[in-house]
Amino acid sequence: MKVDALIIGSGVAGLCAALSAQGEVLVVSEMGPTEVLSSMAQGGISAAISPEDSAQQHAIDTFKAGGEIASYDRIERFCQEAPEAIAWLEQLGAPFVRRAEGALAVRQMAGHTHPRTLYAADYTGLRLVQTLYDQALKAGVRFLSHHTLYSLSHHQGAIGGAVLLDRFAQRPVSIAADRVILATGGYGGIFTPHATTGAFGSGRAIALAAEAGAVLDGLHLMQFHPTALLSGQLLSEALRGYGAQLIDEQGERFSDEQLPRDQLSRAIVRHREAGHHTFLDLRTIDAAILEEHLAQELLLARCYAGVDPRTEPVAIAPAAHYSMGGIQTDERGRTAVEGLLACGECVQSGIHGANRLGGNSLLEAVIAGRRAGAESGYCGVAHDASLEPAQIALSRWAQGEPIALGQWRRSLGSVLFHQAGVIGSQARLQSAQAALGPLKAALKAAAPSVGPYLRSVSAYLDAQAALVLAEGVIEAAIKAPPVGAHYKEES
Amino acid sequence: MRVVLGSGQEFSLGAKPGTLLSTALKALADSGVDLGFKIGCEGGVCGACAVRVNDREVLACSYALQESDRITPLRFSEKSADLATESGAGARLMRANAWLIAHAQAGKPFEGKAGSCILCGSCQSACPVYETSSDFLGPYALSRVWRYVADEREAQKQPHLEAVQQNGIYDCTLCGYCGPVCPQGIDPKMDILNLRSRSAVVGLQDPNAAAMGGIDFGFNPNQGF
Repeated sequence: MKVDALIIGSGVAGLCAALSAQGEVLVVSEMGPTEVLSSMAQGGISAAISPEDSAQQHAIDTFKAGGEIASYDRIERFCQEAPEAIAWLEQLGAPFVRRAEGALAVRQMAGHTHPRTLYAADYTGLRLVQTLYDQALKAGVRFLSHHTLYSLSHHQGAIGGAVLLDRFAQRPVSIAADRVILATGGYGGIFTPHATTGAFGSGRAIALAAEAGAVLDGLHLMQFHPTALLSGQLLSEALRGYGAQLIDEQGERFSDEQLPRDQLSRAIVRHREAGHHTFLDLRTIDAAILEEHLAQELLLARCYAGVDPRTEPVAIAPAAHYSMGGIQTDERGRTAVEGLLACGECVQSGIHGANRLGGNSLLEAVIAGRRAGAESGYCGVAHDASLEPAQIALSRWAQGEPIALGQWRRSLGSVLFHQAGVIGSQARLQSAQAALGPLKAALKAAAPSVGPYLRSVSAYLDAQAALVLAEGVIEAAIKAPPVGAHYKEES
Repeated sequence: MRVVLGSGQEFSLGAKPGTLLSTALKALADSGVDLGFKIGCEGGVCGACAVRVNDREVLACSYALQESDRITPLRFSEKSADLATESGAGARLMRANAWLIAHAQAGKPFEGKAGSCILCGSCQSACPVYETSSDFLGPYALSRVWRYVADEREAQKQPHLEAVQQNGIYDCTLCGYCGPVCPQGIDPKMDILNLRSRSAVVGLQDPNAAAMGGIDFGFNPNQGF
C-alpha cells in the first residue's frame, strides 16, 4: 500500500496531523484508534484568550517555568498560534466549558500568571480525542488499527514508509509513504511502575527514529508528578489547591504542599528515602467539595488504592509524568532525516525547556500536529520495504524462550526512578548505568512468544526501545547541568 | 484463586480476590501464559481493556477479581484474539454521520454524558439486537449522534436524523442493557429515545412502520377512531 502521509499514533497530535495533511492519509494505531494516552490528559489546554491576557505573557511564563533554556522565539510564535488553535478546535466541535454568558471558561494552573487553561469537564484529553476522531472519519482519513510499529523503511538516505505488524493476523505489513509522521507520545513509561503512563510510553518510535538518523535531545528532562498513587494513576494538583495535606505514617506534615511539582517531588522522595511512607490526606477538604468537584479523584483512590479518601489518607509517591526530551525537530516538525516528521510528546521542539507548564502539552499536540501534518514538502522516496526481516524475526521468536517482560520492565523502571529519577547525582547515575548491564544481557538472551494479538511481541519491542531510551536518559543526565526537573545532588 | 478465561481455559492466579483484573492479567503474562489481551491507560478512560466477567461487561483496569470469575471477550466484535477485541466502531460512526457537520456561529456545546464516551464497546457487547442484526448502528454510535444533534452549535441536525432512521433508532428494543454496563455512566437508551422524539418533530417516521403501511392505525386526532 502507498499513501502520501503515514501517521504513526492516533492521539491528539496524530489526529491533528491527519486533519491537516494533504492527499491520502493513513493513521496507524497500536490498539483501537481512540485507545490512546491523550485521553488521560485532565488539566486542559492553555491559550491567552482573555482580553487582559497576552500571548507574550503566556510565552514568558512558559519560558520561565522551563528554566529559561528553551528558545524564547519559538515559544512566542507557539503562544501566538494558541488562540487560533483553540478556535479551530471549537469549529470542529470540541466541547470546551463556557461561562454563563457564553464566553469560553478558563481556569488557573500553577506557573501561569493568568487563568488561561480551557477545559472540557474533567477530561479534556478524552473529549478532544473523541472529537478529533469523529472529524477524521468525516474527512475520510483512513485508519489502520491494531498494527504495531516494527521498523521505519530507509530508502536512498531518507524514510519512505514503515513496516508494521498486524496484531490480529500476526503478520508484517509494509506501507510505502512519501512522508512518515511520528506522533507516538513520550517515553515516561520507561519508569514503570513509577510512571503515570499506564501501558504506554516505551518510546519505541523515538528509538527507531534515532536508529534512522534523527537526533534525540534533552532525554534527561522528565517531569515527575508529585502525587501519584503507588499504582501510577495521578491525583490531581487541584487536591492540594483545595487544601489536601502531605503527611507521613506518623501523621506529620513534612513539606509545603504548594511547592512547584519538581520541588515537591524532591521533598517527597527525600522523606521516603529517609524511611518514611508518604500520604495525601484529603480529609482536610470539605466532603461536599470532594463529592462535587473531585469525584474522579475519589474514584481513582477507591479503585486503585483501595481506600476511601474521606476516611483515611491515600499512599502516594512521585511518578514520571511527561517527557520534555525526545526527537529533535524544527518548528515545522521536521527531523534530521528527510521524509520523517514528528510531533507531540515524542518531540523536543524547544518549547517546554526543563519543565512543562500545565495545559501546554495538549497545546503542543494540537499546534505541532497541525504544523507537521501540513508540512507536505518534506518527503523521502516512498518505498515498499521487504517484509523478510520481520518475517525472520517472527519465526525466530517462535522458537525462543519467553521472558517475564513485565518483571523486566519493573526492574528497569526501579533502577531509573531511584538512580536517575527525581533526585540524581553522579554516583547514582553511574550506578544506574552499571545496573543496565545485567538487564541488557537478560533481554538479549530472551525472545518473546508469538501468540494471540502479538501481545508478547509488542511488549518485547517496547522493552528493547525502553532500554535504548534508558541508556539515553542516563547518558544525558550525566552530561547535563542541573536545571528545572533535572536535579543532581553533590555526590 | 482460580479464574476461567476465554473459551474454558482455567488458570490459577497468584492474586488475591479483590486484585484488579488488569493487574492479574499482566501477572499471568509474566508467568509465561501467552494470552491475547489489551491494557491501555489503566485509569479507565482509554477504553482498551473492556472484557466480560461472568457475562457482564467491565473494564479490566477497574474490575476487582473474585473467586471463580469467568472472563470472556466482548461479544459482537469485528475481530478478536482471546480477550483482545476490535469493535468496528469506525465503520458504524461513519454510517451514522457521528460528527459535527457544520458549526453554527453561536451556541453552547453539548454537556451531557454522551460526550464522555470512550468507545470501549461494552454497550455493543451487551446489546441483544446484535444477536439478530449485525447492521444495527448500536448504542455508542446513536448516543454520539445525539451528542451532536443536542449540541447548540450544530447547524445541520437533519442529516444526523436521516442517517439514523435505517438500522438505527427504531431497531433498538429499549431493553436498557447498554446503560448499566457503561463505565462512563452514559444511558444510550435515553439518547435513542431523544433521537426518536426529535425525528418525529421533523416529520421522520419509522421506516419499518412505513413499510407496513405507515403509522396510520385508524386514529384521527380530531375525530377519534
